[in-house]
Amino acid sequence: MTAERISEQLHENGDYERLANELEYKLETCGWASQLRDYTRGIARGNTGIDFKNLYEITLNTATESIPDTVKMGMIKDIKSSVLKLASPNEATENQKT
Amino acid sequence: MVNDVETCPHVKLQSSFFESYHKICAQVFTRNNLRRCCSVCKKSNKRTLRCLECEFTGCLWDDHFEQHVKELNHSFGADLKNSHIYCYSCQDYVYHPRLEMLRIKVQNIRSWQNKHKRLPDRYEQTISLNPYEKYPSICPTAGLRGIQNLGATCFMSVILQSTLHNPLLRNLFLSGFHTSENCKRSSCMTCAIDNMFASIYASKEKTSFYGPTVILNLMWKLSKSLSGYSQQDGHEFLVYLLDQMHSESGGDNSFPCNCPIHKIFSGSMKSVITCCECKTKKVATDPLMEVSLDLHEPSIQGCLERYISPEQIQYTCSNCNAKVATKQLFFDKLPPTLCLQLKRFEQNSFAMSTKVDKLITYPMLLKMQYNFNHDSVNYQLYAIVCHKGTLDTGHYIAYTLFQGHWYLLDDTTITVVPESEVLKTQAYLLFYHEKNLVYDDEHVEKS
Repeated sequence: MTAERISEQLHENGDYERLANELEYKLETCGWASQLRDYTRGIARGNTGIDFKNLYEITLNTATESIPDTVKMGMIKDIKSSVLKLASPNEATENQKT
Repeated sequence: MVNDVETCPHVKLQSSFFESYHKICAQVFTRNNLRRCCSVCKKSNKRTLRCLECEFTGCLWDDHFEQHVKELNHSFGADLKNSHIYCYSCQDYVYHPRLEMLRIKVQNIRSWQNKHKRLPDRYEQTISLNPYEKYPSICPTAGLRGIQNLGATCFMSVILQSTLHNPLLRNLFLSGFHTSENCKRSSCMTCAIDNMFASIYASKEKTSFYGPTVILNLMWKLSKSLSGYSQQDGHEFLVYLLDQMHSESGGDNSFPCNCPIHKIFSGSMKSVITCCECKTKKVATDPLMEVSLDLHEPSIQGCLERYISPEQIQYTCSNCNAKVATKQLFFDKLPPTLCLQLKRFEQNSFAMSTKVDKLITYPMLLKMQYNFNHDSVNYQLYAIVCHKGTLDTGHYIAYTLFQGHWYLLDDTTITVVPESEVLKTQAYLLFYHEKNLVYDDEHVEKS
């Protein structure tokens, strides 16, 4: 099972959408999104006339590294349970109980 | 602000753009995620854009949208997460003022709707695009225009410029207080002034200027003393103009007069004559339209102090018949707009007029005392009229404050000037306006 295949399946059963929305919500409420916006604004003002793709490349590293650990752990748990659900829809819930 | 940003040169607006963009914005802001999937790869996590010209949705990152652009020549996509427009010719997200206005509108309406669980009242009118198509965008320098010199008419131009930048007069005229549609007079100066406000404040071309032919004609027609081609006195024109507008706006000879012009420019002064012997006081109230100051002091504040300081006069007291009294002037009611005239043109003993070129300093913020000097009010400088040269071969220039910056207006040439330069001119007329307007009902509350 490649990551791509998993991703496709998650899209199909709607879990991907749900996980993405959750991640977005977490990132917004913990303040990461707002900090990143300020940071990006600073970069954009420092390099006036920069276009979107360049700005994205410059800020991507900082963005991914600055995600709080709690959010990362929470998401990993969530993704794990969704993926396990794919593997065996009935057993996954039993595994979670133990 | 939306209008400050450079727009993408490739956007050529068609009405179909507006409709489809409106639909996309509505979908985006109602958090309807169902259609964010790319038509090619069915994924929604690679920045999907919706084409403005057809139903195609494609990813930005995996170049699916780019293929669509190459195939069908549709170069704009709206980002399905935040509704921003991506232009493939610019290879960047772009702004267009009117589309951006629409986006912000829909965003606000939808967020209101999400909170209140219903559409706002008059939703259809709010979302209507017709007003945007009817009115073109505003020019940021509208209101700041040169006035053509039609032959020694700079005395008139500078007064017109100071009028254009008087906040109260400007607001009065721009709110339609006197328009030629409503006025039945045939030769009306106020209509001409209103047309001047309309054409200068609506002007879209930064380099256009105003030709005051109508005003000049009316002046020749209506005033005998100001007719003719020679240079006239700027202050005389101001007095004439205000008086003309006063009678055309229903003003009468009563004191105080309730016409808008008098409400803005006129105040009153009290003169107190105290007999030196018996100390009886005689108080008289006189109207005040401007303050004409002698130039005996190096600063305006000094000149004003001298103006209201007591002086000995020859006077026959009705009470005790003494021949000496002191007279003192007090500012009684100060007008919202205060005009100070520096008496630079004086007539000497040979009945010839000479010009006094002495440099008098004046402040940006002037504190005026009134009510027998018990109270004071702050005034802000907004326009200066200067006269250069001699009485016969001189030239008038004006400095005005426009949107927080000072400008030198010399006929049709406008220059930005620093505040330091503004405070060092050889001013002839100084225009101040009250920094904070107090309305009548506030006075009532205070007492």
